[in-house]
Amino acid sequence: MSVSGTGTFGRVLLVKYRPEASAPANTTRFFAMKVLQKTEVIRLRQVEHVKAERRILSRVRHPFIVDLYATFQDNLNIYMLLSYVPGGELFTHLRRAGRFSPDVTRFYLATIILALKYLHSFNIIYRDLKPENLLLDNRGYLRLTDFGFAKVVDDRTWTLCGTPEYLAPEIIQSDGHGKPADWWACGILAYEMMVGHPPFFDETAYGIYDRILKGKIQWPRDIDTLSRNLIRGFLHPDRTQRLGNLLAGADDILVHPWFRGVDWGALERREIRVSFYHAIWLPFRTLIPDSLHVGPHRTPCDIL
Amino acid sequence: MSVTLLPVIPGRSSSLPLSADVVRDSPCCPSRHGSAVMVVDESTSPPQSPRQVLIRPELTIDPKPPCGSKASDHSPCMSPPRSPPHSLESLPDQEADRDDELPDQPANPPQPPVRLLDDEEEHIHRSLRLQDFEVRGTLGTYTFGGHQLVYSGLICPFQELAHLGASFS
Repeated sequence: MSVSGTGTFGRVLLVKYRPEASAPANTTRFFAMKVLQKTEVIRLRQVEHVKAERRILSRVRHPFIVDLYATFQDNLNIYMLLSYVPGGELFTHLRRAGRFSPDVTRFYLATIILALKYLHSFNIIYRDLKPENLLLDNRGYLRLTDFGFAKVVDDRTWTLCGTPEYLAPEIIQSDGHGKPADWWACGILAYEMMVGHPPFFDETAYGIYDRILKGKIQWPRDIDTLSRNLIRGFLHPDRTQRLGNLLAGADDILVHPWFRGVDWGALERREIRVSFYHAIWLPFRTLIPDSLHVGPHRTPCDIL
Repeated sequence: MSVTLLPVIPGRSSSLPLSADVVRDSPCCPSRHGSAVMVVDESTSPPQSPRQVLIRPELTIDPKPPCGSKASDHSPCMSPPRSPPHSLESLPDQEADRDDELPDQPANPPQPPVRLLDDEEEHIHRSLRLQDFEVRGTLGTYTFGGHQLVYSGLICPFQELAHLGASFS
């Protein structure tokens, strides 16, 4: 935990709320503290993005989006106090598992679709959907995190940002992008969860873009027709034809046959019991409270 | 259940804010290319002729450098702020996000949102202080906007997940 080196934009700390008396007994005392160095934020021209992240996260409230509780700052850093989501990145779990079954994929994807639908109702586009930005909570539900690229956009925007494998063609072509780019990323995510790698990948970013624009998707034989239909719907190169951007908007996704049987209301109320959640959560429980103690009475500002 | 596609998944891209003076280094870890913001050449976007078919390589995110190589030299464009604590709002605007909406694009007329973000109450706890928190560990580090959340020491065995045909009803 030394002074951050070149290129480190910031870090995320696990912090514990200290005052003993004031916290109700069953309230979590652990939080994630995102610490951004002001010099780096400025040098990397992320000032507007950080402001937007704070503005958006401080106002949105959704069961599948990480909560922002407070922000602080001092001479050096900006601090964002966020939900501690103990299960780690979906990316880690996906790489270890190889791929997810259609049922597991359906559960995760459904939560993301609800989160995106909620964000889009504010005209917020998220712009960085990928398994790295999806954290597993203590019940096995996903939480969308890292709103560094989220933006309120009434129509389209032109900044090229995101992650190469997840960029929609219109982003690569500098054609202006909006909500449909998030739905495209949903298709990439669905494919990656079910197949184990994204549909368009290459050694270089240029190679990735080339494949995205060519649009040729290779399908493992065991991916069923309905799943292909859903993913193709998201990965339509013409955004006006893309699932999520048709007449009924996100509701077209909710009624897609691939999601048949999903009780969207119950899901959003977190009433669905995640039957695989024990495998995820139980090994954690004993780890969290005390084993991470790194020293007495260090506050977040002491670390960086 | 065998995947008959390309045999090896190359390193994962990570989020990459590529501004003019920064090239992201993509580590060779099993992550990916990072998220990126690219401020291309300081030109005002949106482009006037948006029908560009392919981004030229020199305009796009660079091919990954060899494993382990660091990002190219960064020339800090600004000296560290040493003024007293400034608020988030008082940080200099740097036009990181140069993507103002183009007013005269006919294709997709701007849509008013279903609800306004400004109508939502800020749920920030203003009574909390930074000193109320003590550090228990590092969950990850951010590099150039992309992050590598390591969850060091927090990783638990998840291999089972693949074999669990979880039901979802």
